[in-house]
Amino acid sequence: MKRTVLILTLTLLALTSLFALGQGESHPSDVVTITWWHPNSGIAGKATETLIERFNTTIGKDQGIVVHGVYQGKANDVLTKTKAIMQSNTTTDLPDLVQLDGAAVLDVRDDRSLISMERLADEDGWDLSQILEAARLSVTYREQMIAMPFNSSTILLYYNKSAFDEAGITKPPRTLDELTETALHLKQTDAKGKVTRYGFANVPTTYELMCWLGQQNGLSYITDEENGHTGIPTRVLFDDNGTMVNFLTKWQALYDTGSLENLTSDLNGAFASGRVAMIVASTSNLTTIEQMVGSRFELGVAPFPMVDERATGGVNVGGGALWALDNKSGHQKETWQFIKFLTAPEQQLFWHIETGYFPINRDTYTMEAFTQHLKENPRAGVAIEQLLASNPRLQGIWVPSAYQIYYAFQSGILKMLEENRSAEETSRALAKEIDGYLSEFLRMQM
Amino acid sequence: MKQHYHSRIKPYLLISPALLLAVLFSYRPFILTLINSLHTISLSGKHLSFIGLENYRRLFTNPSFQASLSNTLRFTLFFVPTNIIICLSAALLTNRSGKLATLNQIFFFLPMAVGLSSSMMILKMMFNPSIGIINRLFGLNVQWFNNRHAAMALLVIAGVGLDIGLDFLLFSAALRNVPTDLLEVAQIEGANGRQTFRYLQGPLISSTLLFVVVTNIKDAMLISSPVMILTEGGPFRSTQTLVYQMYLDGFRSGNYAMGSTIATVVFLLTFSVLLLLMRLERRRVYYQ
Repeated sequence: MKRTVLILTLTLLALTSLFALGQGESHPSDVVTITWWHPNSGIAGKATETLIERFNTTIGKDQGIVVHGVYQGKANDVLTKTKAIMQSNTTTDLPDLVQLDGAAVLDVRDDRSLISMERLADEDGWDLSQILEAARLSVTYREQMIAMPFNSSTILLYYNKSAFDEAGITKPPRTLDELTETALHLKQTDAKGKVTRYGFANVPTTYELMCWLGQQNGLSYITDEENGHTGIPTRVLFDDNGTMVNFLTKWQALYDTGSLENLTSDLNGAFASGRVAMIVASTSNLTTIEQMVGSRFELGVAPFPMVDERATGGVNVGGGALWALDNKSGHQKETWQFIKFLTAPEQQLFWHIETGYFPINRDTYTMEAFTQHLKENPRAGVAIEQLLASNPRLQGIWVPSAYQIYYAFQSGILKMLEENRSAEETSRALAKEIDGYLSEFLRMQM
Repeated sequence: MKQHYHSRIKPYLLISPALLLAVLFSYRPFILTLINSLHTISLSGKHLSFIGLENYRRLFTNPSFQASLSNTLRFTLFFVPTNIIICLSAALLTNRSGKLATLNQIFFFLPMAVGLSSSMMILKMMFNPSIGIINRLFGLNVQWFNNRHAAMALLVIAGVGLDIGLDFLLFSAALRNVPTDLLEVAQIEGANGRQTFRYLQGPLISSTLLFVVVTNIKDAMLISSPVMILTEGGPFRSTQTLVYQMYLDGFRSGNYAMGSTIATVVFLLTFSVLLLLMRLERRRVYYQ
């Protein structure tokens, strides 16, 4: 009998814990919780937490909004998780806000749960021209700004300034011809003729080619539909307009000097160890590279080299953006309040100083504190100047089978260098392979 | 009559749970994959139209697939013999009694206790060309992730590391089952180590050997997880295997039709190699 009573009491006690949990789920009705999935860790993760806390203790407190940031792993993991929910049709599990990479555009842009960022801004009477034009166009699809640029970056040339001084080179190369010459001067060999220091290391992928092909003749498109920004691309243009052949000819000349290493991984490590004197990498690598180089040599950064004198297009805006999603909670206005906060000049300045991602709000650029920061950090200034001088219509490509295309470029270019193929032949083969992926995707639309 | 009916229905009743699971999780997906490979499928997974063997035609003319196919076959060719020689040697060397021998066996068996992803992450750090311990320890300057041959070698090393635990255990158990009286006779007759293996141990463990070869070929043809973590198919697609490409096309690019087509090709390929091997079994394998 005693035992039965004991068991009964315990069962009842156990049950109450369930009720308690159930109560914890519901919030007081006057506070709205916004969930933000992001891939920011390390320095960027800390900056993200600070931004969220600033919002929650100021605007959020006044308007009854609490932002809840959730680190969901690397950019790719965030996409995988978001995509899984989108395909499962249980959209109530979606976050209100998700931060995704440029590579994710094709996966989310046509999804029913996506809320157009332009619409949210319009409903609030918020002027979109506050955003840097290049950044705004980088998330514009069919004349609509579908996301909010946030962790934006560009590509830069990093060089070993100590090695430059040693070789008597005073200026970083501006064009690929100059790069070839500089690289040759920087190359070092040991007694046996083995290269101990390469001038430059790279095997161009989509990332570099977006600029090297796009910047030619002021502005060139890699695929039709303006690199996929006005519709689904149907074919590549780089073979017909000759930009690929022009680039590959310069690249072959660089390789022929023996000062180019066909390196595809651990470029930062090779550069920091002094084995390679120049690399090109994202501005978001600046802090990492500075730390890796340390006091081993003096680090220099310069604008991304142009293919030739007529390639004046500059560089495109890469990186990630914030996407607002409809999870049937009806909290779109509150989500927009938070996006507006993140995009404000002060927050953009903080984000830039902490992480190195450049400010996307025009008004940040005229702030006293910003000019002061650039004076103290001339390297960050190089990236900003380069971006402001670029053609804002130079945009990244939105293509399906991004991984296959990435490797197609790499293997195609390597084949040209190692198996003595001509630039024309290589360009044609690349066009044929990539056109195949594009048509593959078109077949999936009908 | 009733009794008879019961005894006839009973076996079916007993296998039905297993059959249900097999149909649900093996046969049904398999047939769906086959059907998928004959259609075009939209991003959201809807069948658009029946196109016969068009997907196969496109696949076989795709340079990326040609690379995957040759990489997978090359990997199998390098991996299976390397793995068997290493595991069998380890088992032969530790095949003796005594406490220290047990310790040795534990060493070889231990890799099985480490999770695949974590061991691959550790391997990736160890083989990092600038800061990794392998290059430093052996005074090498090998660009493990940038040289096509080195990357393939690394993949073979990773594959052996993954399989050594189980394969070693199987060989060890098989060798221990060789009757000691036969071994003693061989010893008295003056057989040396090689002869003992060639005429006694070898034939007696041949059924285990066949099993290991078959599972190794299957593992090699389906290798993908180490590729995903270690090399991501690079450099220059030199380690892109069939199943990794299936993952890229099917999941990363959302092209289910092409993913299914690759899956079907992988199945047919693996199945035919294994069928060939099973034919061999009748002539070469002895069961005790």
